[in-house]
Amino acid sequence: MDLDLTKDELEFREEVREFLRTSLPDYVRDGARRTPGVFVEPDIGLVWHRILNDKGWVAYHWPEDCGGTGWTPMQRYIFEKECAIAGAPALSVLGLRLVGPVICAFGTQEQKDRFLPAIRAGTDYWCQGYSEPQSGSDLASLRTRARRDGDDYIVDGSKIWTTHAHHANWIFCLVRTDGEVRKQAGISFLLIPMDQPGVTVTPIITMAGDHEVNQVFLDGARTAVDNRIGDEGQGWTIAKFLLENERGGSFHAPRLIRAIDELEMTAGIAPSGHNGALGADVQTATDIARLRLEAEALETTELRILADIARGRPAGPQTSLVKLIASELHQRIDRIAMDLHGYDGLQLPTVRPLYGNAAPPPIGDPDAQIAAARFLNSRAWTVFGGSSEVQKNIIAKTVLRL
Amino acid sequence: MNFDLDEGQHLARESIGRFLGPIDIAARHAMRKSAGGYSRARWQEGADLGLLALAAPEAMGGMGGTMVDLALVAEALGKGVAIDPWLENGVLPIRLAAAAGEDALVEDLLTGARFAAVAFAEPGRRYETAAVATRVEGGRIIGSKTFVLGASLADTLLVTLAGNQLATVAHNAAGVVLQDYPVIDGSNAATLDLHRTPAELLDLPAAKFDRVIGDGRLLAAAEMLGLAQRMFDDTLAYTREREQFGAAIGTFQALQHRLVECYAALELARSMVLRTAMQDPTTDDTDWPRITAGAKAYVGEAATRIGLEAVQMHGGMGQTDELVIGHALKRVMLLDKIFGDQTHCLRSYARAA
Repeated sequence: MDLDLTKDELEFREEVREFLRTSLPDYVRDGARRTPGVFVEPDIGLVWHRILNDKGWVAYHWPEDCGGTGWTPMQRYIFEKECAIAGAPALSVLGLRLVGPVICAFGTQEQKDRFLPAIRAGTDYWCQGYSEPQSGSDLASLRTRARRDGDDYIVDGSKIWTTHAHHANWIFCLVRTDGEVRKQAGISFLLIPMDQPGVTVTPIITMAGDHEVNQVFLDGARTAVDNRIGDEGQGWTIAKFLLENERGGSFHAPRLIRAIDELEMTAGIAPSGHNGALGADVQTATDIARLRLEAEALETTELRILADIARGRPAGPQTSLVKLIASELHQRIDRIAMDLHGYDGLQLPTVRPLYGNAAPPPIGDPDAQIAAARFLNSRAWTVFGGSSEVQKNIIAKTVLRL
Repeated sequence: MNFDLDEGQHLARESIGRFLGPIDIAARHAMRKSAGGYSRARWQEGADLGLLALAAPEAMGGMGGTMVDLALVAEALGKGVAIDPWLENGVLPIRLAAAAGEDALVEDLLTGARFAAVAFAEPGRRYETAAVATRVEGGRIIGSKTFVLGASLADTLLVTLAGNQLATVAHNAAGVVLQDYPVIDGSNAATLDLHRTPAELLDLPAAKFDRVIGDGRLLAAAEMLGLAQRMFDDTLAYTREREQFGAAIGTFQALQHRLVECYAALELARSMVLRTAMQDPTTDDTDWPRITAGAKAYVGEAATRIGLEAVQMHGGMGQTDELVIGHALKRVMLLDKIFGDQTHCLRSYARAA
């Protein structure tokens, strides 16, 4: 039992570090750092996406025959860890992590040829049509209907919490194609172009003032039957495959540990208001120490899962465990980050973006400017991708067999 | 990177399983009622299995186990809710004697020929590990110690002294006053007063002493991990079979979610123990006592929480001394405090961070 990297892995890590040193633009790094939302905007994210695509590294978790890198699970971990340390933005998950792997696993050759290169190139931008106003945690109760009309489906209904729908040209949707069977069995997985009269996008502004999510209205929206992934009625199986990727597709700990490093740096300079820096205050120091221990335990848990995957054992419900813990940790970190800044932590700028020349000047430490917005946006962690309560239900059922 | 056990680790785990056997609460009560609350014959069996030799360096006749090896033993002992004071009367004195370069003593201890108790804690100094008030005066030692676990069974007392020294004291030496008292896991501790007691004095550099304290912290964490696993397994099984309101109580979501929280805490605690054991610098690195303090605080919190939930979910039965979980919880309570409680260890961990 050891945590050592092999010689090849150490060389790979050097290669990644060198690439990040030379290829990650400062303004992209700064934009990521100054984004209070959960996801970076395409003006930052797509720049990095295309740089990685030019290197051939953007779809690093796809199978090789779909344009992936063929990296081992350990290489993926090293890559993500180095990206986190370097402050690279997290890539948009919608194409690369969600619909891409679905098309790889369930799509026809024609579908792979049509969609996968455009995801890698960043020329298609995707959004996800899962949740509906009346179907949140109970996803299988969804009502958006699709009916056949010749070689097309006509889709009616509404999707909600649709991240970046206002940037997207495609939406992947769970739709009901059969209302007569068990609710899970009547669902199909459709790809629908956004640029058509039947699709309307309405913004939803978060507590923090960010526009990340939307409601999407589908009123007679059309898509070709050829844009259905899998068979009619196979949508729920695909949905679960996608959700496991969403929950477990990437490693959380590297970014969490970097965020904790930043907390410590902030605590080291933030005045306590009594004597000396906050970092010397026992309560603050031990609060941050608790976060670090939890993040380190999570990192090792992710590595244990990775070791299982490397041996060909499926990660399955373990991804729910990681999602559950990581979500709470994100929230605890963002809460303490806001608290560290005192009054300055209460500023909540109303303009976006907070990077570039048009950004307003921060009050106090630059990190204080986004702390309140991060705290507010971070509340979504325990809701999206299946709420913490749903994750607990999944673990209770599939791991504890209760 | 790999998380697999090697062949020796598999074998050790199996032989500990056979040594411990199924948990017999009645036998456990009987042993605790006997003189000293434990059996030297049983201790000898453990020694014959090599459980003590594993903690000693090969150069001193031991098996030179790694921290991973030792953590796996501690975990297995915890999982079997062992009554054996392997950590406090085995690993701790052996590693202190080894750190002080006392080959002969190490050999006597690892064969089970001698049984030692370690007097490190001092009254009024809470969890401070360094000796302050116990000292040498005119070639003899004076001072007071407390929380000397297993003292009533010991042939030899190892006493930490101010000025980076360690004294070996015969249990019946002149000026030794031991006052036995029972502690929470059913074992015995003692207060120790030393009135100009003759002793053999050994040098024990602070870095080497702190290294042993770090080892003790990690192994306490590993044993707590095993204990937590046992309490969790028993509780999960119980909630599947115990029926109320016409259904197994494990079908109730209020309990399911709390069980999932316990499961998550358990898996993270396991990660923390393995991670820390694998990070052993194998030197007297000054960071070792600190990172093991963090690990122990983290695992102690998880094990305590799991233990208290286990008691609650067992309802009335959980309050009794008849179930394994009560015995496991009581051992956790002791291990959670030995070498510093959660607050103390968290502060040690954070201070130098």
